[in-house]
Amino acid sequence: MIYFDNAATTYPKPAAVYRGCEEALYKFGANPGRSGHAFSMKTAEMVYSARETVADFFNASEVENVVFTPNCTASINMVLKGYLKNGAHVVISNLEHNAVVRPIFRLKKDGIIDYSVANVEEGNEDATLYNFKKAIRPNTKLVVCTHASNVFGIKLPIRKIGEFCRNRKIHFLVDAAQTAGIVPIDIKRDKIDFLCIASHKGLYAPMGTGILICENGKTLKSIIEGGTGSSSLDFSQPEQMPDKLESGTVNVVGIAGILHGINTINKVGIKTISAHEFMIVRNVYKQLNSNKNIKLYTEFPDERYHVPVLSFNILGLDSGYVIDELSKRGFALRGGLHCAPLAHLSKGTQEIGTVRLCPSMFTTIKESNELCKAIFNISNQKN
Amino acid sequence: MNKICYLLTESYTSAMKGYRILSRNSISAKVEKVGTSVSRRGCTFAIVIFNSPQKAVKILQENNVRILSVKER
Repeated sequence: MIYFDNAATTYPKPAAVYRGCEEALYKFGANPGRSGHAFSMKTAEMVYSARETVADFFNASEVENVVFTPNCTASINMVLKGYLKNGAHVVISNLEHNAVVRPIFRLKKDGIIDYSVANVEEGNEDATLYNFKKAIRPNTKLVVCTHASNVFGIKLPIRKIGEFCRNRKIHFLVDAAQTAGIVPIDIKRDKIDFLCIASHKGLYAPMGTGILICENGKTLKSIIEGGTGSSSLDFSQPEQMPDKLESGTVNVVGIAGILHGINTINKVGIKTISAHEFMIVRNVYKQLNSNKNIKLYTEFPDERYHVPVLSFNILGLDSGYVIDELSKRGFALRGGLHCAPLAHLSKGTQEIGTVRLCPSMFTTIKESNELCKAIFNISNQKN
Repeated sequence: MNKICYLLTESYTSAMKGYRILSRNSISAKVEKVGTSVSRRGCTFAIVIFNSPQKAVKILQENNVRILSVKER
């Protein structure tokens, strides 16, 4: 199998991640931050090191601002439901994933909030920023945007939006599911209040791991309460971070994966990884763009405005059919709507979806050439 | 003989953060879970130091590590 579904989750993981996760099952098998025995303390120390590594990687102000969650969707829900109060207005982009759209829609349906959608203009940061500014109301409490579309790979100017939000004293949530580990993110420089991360994607950790970095945990109410290994006589949830937002036993094996995933990225270099992945998508783009039966939806991939994620369709074919045909030929890609209905509405692809490909640091040029051949083969059979 | 001081913290993360800060400042320390009868607030982790606590507490406060109380033994 040749795997191009890295936007859903990266595969394979670096050897260090496999080794680190296996080691965690043996060496870090006690519950961290609960018991006082040496085995538990050793596990807790590993979890702390992972927390510290994440904080350094994204330049968080304090190590305790890093919260381990089950996935990026959980991180986003923790902020939206823990922060937004009655009467609040929220601005989201038109490229959001359902991880944002559905909780926002639910909060609106329950009469708690109202929201507006700002359109993203591909390749025009100022126009995108203008659309966000235009959507702001006096009661806007939060701006939520994906760092990059999981469908079309279009990147949003988060630094400019963050700067605007900070000046207007509006909190800023960034969904970095598609960018963490591929695009450098500096939570302080980019003026992000809540950074939500799918660590099983660009950070190469196992599935079932996510991160929330909360620069001001005091602004959030917990939405899940329970055991934290601290202040256990108190019936109230502790206020201190990360305990406030991290009830229950954490995913120690997954956290070991995060630690080793980030260490690998640091070793290889985020710029090297990004340049490699761009080389792959540009190669595919050039080839697909030369075939008149193939429709691409974005401009030529440019680091300033895109991430290495590409959507296309073979004219006259449903994306699901193309995926099945590619699967028969040994390729793993995803078709359909990719849980991002707003993004499809913006490009008119809601009826047929798109075929999406995303390389990883392990994808080779040879594999991308083979993929293009397979796509042409399916296209020729149709036409 | 040196005193043993327990600097009670809000959580394991807080204790570990404090421990790392003290290590960087050449203050020998370790993290321990303290007994409920000592903490009087249920599960609590402490930074254990083997010297007088004033300097350590000052450093920790400067680095935003909240110390709930200091118990000497």
